[in-house]
Formats: sequence, C-alpha cells, structure tokens
Amino acid sequence: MNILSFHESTVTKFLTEQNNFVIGLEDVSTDCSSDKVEIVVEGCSKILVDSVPAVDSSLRMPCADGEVLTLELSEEKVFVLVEWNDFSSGTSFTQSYEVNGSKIQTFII
Amino acid sequence: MQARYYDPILGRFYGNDPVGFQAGTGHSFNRYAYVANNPYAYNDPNGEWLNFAIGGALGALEDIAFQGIMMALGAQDEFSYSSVAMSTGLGVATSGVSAYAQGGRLAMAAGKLGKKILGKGDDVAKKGLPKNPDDLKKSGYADTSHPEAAKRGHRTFENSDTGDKVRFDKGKSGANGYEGKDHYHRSNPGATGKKDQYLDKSGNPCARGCDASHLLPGD
Repeated sequence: MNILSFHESTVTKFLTEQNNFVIGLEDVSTDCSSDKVEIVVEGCSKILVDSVPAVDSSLRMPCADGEVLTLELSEEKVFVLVEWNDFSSGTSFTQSYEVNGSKIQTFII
Repeated sequence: MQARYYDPILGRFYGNDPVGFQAGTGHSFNRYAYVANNPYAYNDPNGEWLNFAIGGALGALEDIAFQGIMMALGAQDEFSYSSVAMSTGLGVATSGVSAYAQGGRLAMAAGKLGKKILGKGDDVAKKGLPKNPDDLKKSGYADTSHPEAAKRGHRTFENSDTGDKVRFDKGKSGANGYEGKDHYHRSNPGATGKKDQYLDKSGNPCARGCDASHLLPGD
C-alpha cells in the first residue's frame, strides 16, 4: 500500500504520550481501500510549533477538527501544517508543527 | 430666515405662529407664546416650529435609515422600534444635535453598504477566481496566510467587505488529480463540520475532499 497524499486529510488524533507524538488521520489518499493512517514519532527530542520551541511538550488538538494542508515525512522528522476549525464559532487558524524523534512509524489502520 | 420677531420683555412673539394650532398640544392654542411656555426645555430660533419636534423627527429618521442599512448588510436581524423611540427621545432632548452626532455612524454604514453593493460586481464575481492568487488583493482581499503555509503554496485570502474567504493551493508537479493543479477552496460561512465546510462554484455547501470543493481559476 502506498500513501499518495496527506493533503486535505482530517486529523482525528493529535497528542504526545510517553515521549511519543501520535497523529491519527482519515481521508488520506492511498492506492488501496484504506484511508486511515497513524503516524508515531518515537523518542521526541524537539517539537516546534510555528517554528518556535513548544513551551509545553504535551501537544493536544486545539480544536475538534483539523485539516492537513501539508505533511512531510522523513526518517527522523515530521512536518505538518494543520488548519484547525472551530465550526461552532466559525473560526479557523493554521499552525505548523515540526516534531523530531529517534524513529518514525506509519501504520495503516 | 426669522419668521417673526420676539419681544423678550413680554415673552411673546409679535406675530402668531404660522405653524398654527397642533392637536394634542394645548399650549399651541396661544400662537403668540414661545416654545409652549417652556424655554428651559425647548428653543425655537426661527419662530416657526419647536426644535424639539424637528430634533425628534431627525433622531427617528437617522435611526430608521441606520437600521435599514444594517439589515441590508446582514448585521441586524430585526427592526427595533425601541431603538427608534430612544433616538427620537434623544433628538427631542437635544433639539436634533444627537441626530447630527449619530450621522457619523449612518455615513459609515452607508459606506459599507456601498462597498458591498459594488463588491458584487468586482473582478472575482465577474471573471471568477484569478490564475494568480495575488490578483485577489486588487479586488479587496487581504492575504492572511500562515507564513509556513504560504512557503508551501497554501495561501489564504479574506475580503472583509463581502466576508468571502478562499484558500489557494498551488498544484504540485507530479501529483495526481486536483493536487497537481492550482486550485482554490471557498469557505462556507455557515459550515457546521467538514461535511459542509466548503462552497462549490454555484455557492452550494460541499464536503472537504469532494471534487466540487475544488475551484479552478475562472470559477
């Protein structure tokens, strides 16, 4: 199975737990029937939010809905741009996250 | 401009009030009296009419016009009679000065309405979305892009006059489908979730990721 694109996928999980960063996505464009993916960055060593080191290393979803604009994966780093939406107030904002770790795993769910 | 002359010693006008007797205003029966015999509350510099009446009318008219424009702009749902009554009262109390003072808000609202009406005929409405997203700035849109997103070809533009908000996604070379083409997404201002997050080219709500949510230059 190949992931074709993360663009316009929906963030369903976004958190740090036990020094790992986990991002769950659905509506990921793939070449098979599955479109749910979970990416785990193990042994987080650096987290940048909007290019600034995160004050609080425990990341959480700031809104109930997020749309991925760009997600770039390398061996030890994930860069993701998310447009967060609060539909109840009709507001949205974009944030970038750069998470470095010792190992990155991608799971098709 | 003075309609008649006033004797301050007698406290009476030499001529009678050309406005005549006003039903419901007993004091106007004496048409030589000044401002219904109540100079503390009212004034009548041209001798024809009590300024409080004109002031009240001006206050009411300003409020009605202002509310009408706000409703046309979509900033107010229902007409408020209590607001008219309040403005009328202010106009009476200040002999119309309040209406002049509130004229500023009326002028601003009228300006916004004018921009909104003109905005409907702007380049985006006539020619569709531009090939070059920077051209949106010539049509009253502000670039509100996140800097990292802009670096990667995702640009956000908002028009504060019309409320229109669009995101431009630059096509990536080698990518399939819409991701390989320059496209836009138009936000649905009444969205309740990702199922109706965007508007199609006809202005109908559509879901994130669906084909119709992708607008091409010219749409």
